[in-house]
Amino acid sequence: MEPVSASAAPARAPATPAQEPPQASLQTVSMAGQARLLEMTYQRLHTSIMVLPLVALALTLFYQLQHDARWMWGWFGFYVVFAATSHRLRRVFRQDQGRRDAADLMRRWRPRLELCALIHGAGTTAPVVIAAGHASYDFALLLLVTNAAILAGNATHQTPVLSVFMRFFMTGWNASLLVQPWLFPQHWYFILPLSLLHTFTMYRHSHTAHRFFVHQVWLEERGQQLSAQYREARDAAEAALAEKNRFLSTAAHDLRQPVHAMGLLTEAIALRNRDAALAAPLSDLRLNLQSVQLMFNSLLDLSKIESGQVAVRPEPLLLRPFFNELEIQFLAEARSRGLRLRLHMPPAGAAVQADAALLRQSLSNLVHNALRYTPQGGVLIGARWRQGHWRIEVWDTGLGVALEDRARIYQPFYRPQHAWHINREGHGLGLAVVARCVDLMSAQHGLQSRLGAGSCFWLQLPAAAPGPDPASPRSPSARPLQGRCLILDDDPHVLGAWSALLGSWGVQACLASDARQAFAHVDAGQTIDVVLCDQRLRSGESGFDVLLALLARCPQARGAMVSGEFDAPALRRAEEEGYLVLKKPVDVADLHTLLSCWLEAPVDATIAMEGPRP
Amino acid sequence: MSPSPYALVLDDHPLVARGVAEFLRSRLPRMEVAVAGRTEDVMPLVAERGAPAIALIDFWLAEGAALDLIAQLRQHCPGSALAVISGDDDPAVMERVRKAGAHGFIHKQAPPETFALAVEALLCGLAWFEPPSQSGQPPRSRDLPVTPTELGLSMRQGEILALVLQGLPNKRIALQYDLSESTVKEHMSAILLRLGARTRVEAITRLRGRRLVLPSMGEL
Repeated sequence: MEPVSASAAPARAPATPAQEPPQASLQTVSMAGQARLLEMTYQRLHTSIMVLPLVALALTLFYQLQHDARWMWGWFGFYVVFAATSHRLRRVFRQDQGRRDAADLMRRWRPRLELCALIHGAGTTAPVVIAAGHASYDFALLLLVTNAAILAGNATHQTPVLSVFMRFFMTGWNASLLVQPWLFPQHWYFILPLSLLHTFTMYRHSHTAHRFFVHQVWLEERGQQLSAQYREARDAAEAALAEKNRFLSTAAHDLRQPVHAMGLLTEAIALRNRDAALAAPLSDLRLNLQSVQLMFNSLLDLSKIESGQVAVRPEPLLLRPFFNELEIQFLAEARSRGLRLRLHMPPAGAAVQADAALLRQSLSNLVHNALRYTPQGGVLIGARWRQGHWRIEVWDTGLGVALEDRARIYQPFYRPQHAWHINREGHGLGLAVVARCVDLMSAQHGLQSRLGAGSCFWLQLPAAAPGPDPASPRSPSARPLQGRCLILDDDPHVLGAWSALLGSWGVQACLASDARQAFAHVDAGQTIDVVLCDQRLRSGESGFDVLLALLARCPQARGAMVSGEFDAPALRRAEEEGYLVLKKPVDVADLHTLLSCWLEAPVDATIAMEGPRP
Repeated sequence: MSPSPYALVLDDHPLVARGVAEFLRSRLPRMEVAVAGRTEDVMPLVAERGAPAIALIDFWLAEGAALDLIAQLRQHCPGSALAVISGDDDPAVMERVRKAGAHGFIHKQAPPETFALAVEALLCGLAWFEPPSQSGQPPRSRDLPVTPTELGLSMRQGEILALVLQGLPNKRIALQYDLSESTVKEHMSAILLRLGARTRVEAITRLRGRRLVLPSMGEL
């Protein structure tokens, strides 16, 4: 009758629940779980003990109607004391719950609860013994029904720790059965078998209820264990990703140093090379270096994006400048591959809400990708209006993407098999960067493709009304400029540098180191659009005077002073009269802005506003 | 004081230093190139050979070393162009370099063409702080239209600003609109105040990427 033998060694219980479904045994759950079961048992036992004085009072009063009830009053008195004691004991249990660990709690309190249950059981048997032999049939029946009801209630709720209930069961109901022939002298042979049936049913029921409680706690613990495992796995995955990103960016940073040096050395060798036979391998070497650098940049971009270091700043952006930029960036490459690069310009006011850097990166990667995997034909860039969005499309007449590859080509380092045969420069990172950028902007991307016929990769961004944009430093490499700029500087080293810099913007530079040379350029019949004049000239002339004289000769030209001196009286006069004075060192971006006001080639005839010319 | 002009390269990575030096030699045939591998070598070199025309300094020598060196060089060689080369594309690093008084910041990942251009620009006495080409801001043409009202200017002030953008001096602006020069000057100070600029050049650079549209002329 003692199915639970855990009291001997509760500490042997496994700390974590087992994988298989639990047996009806306390050991299936952890010590903490067992303590919870004990608490649940105690709660029910306590309720039962607290209720009993009321039951005892009612029964005693009923008994007093016909009999001498002294023993019954004594029984009632006992339950009042027992209930009060149980109440105090329960407070101690509560305190112990906070102080002791689960194993200790079980060790101390399980025997105490068993004892309480034992006494409680004996308590319910007591009136049967008192009444046996002289109680009326009515009272005896009431007593029997009451005891059966108490048993049923306890068999359902007191069973989390079965050994506690079993003690109550033995000293309560079962013990009272022994006295039944004296309680029901005339009918015991009817009532006793029914009572034994009740015993059997309650025994079965108590075991079922016990299994249910244990299973419940086991499930709870299993759930907690699984969620802890999940958290661990997730943390490990995140740590691995962070580790990978750190490794990538460190490696790329470190490798970049020598690669950078190699790039410069190759460039230097190419410039000095007089051997025609070396030209081809040198150019291959340069292309390879560019490819390696491109890979480093992509790797760094990807790791930066993945580690969340990229701040996304959406702003209204006009599409046309991006298209112009793509043309500048890729026209030469397209030509060198024998491809046509065509742009279908969006309307002048077309603007999207996007992060400039991310959009630029995505578009540039898409076009780069398209050019790379298109052996012949061309690439077309266009923008299409779609219900409040601009969809920017990059069409190519290239290989196309097989259906099974369409999801995977956005994963880092994935390249379809046939792509590898066409182009070995790629690293499978470009589209991965596109996907991450687009995700960061909460935009959409996708592709349509037919194998062997070509693909269309697209980005879809919400349209925006172009708002005012804060004046911030911009890269000085927008639309090409056109015109001729006369530079007056007395340092011959500097003159060569000016020529290279302006040349890279599309501006022709005429160089002069004094007024005589400057006028020689004008006399030679060259149209001068801009004059940049250093204030201090070695010839001793005042730069400003020379500028005024030159502007007088070329009224259509615009002029500005350039100077490292801050307080020359001539410069103060120049500013006073409204001439532009650039202070050295002049920010390249500022110089470009100035020249672009005067020399920017119009996009088309209708756009550039020119002020009224005097 | 200045014998032959030379460029100074400081990088503790010998391969990088030699690469930069070799590149400079091929790009600037008239210029000599001196290489230093340690920060301590720089000042003796400057004492011996005079101020360099340009100094290219690796940012990651040791924490803060590059910035200290720039402060020192600014004092001893006020005429030299000082630039930092860095593999770091963190805008904050660029800002620190700018604040330390350098004239330029060149990214290591910049293609050789850009690197050469930056050196040329620095030699011209220009400042070079270009964001890295890969992840920086896109270049802007003057494509975003803006009206004088949006800038907080009156119509007349807008008209005058349009001429300032054309680089015209006060006298010619006065002639254009039949005003006295002093009236133009008054308008000018109001315009500069509105745009938060101290000089005309600043006003023009504030309008970077914008195209001033005067309603009187219609959207031409």
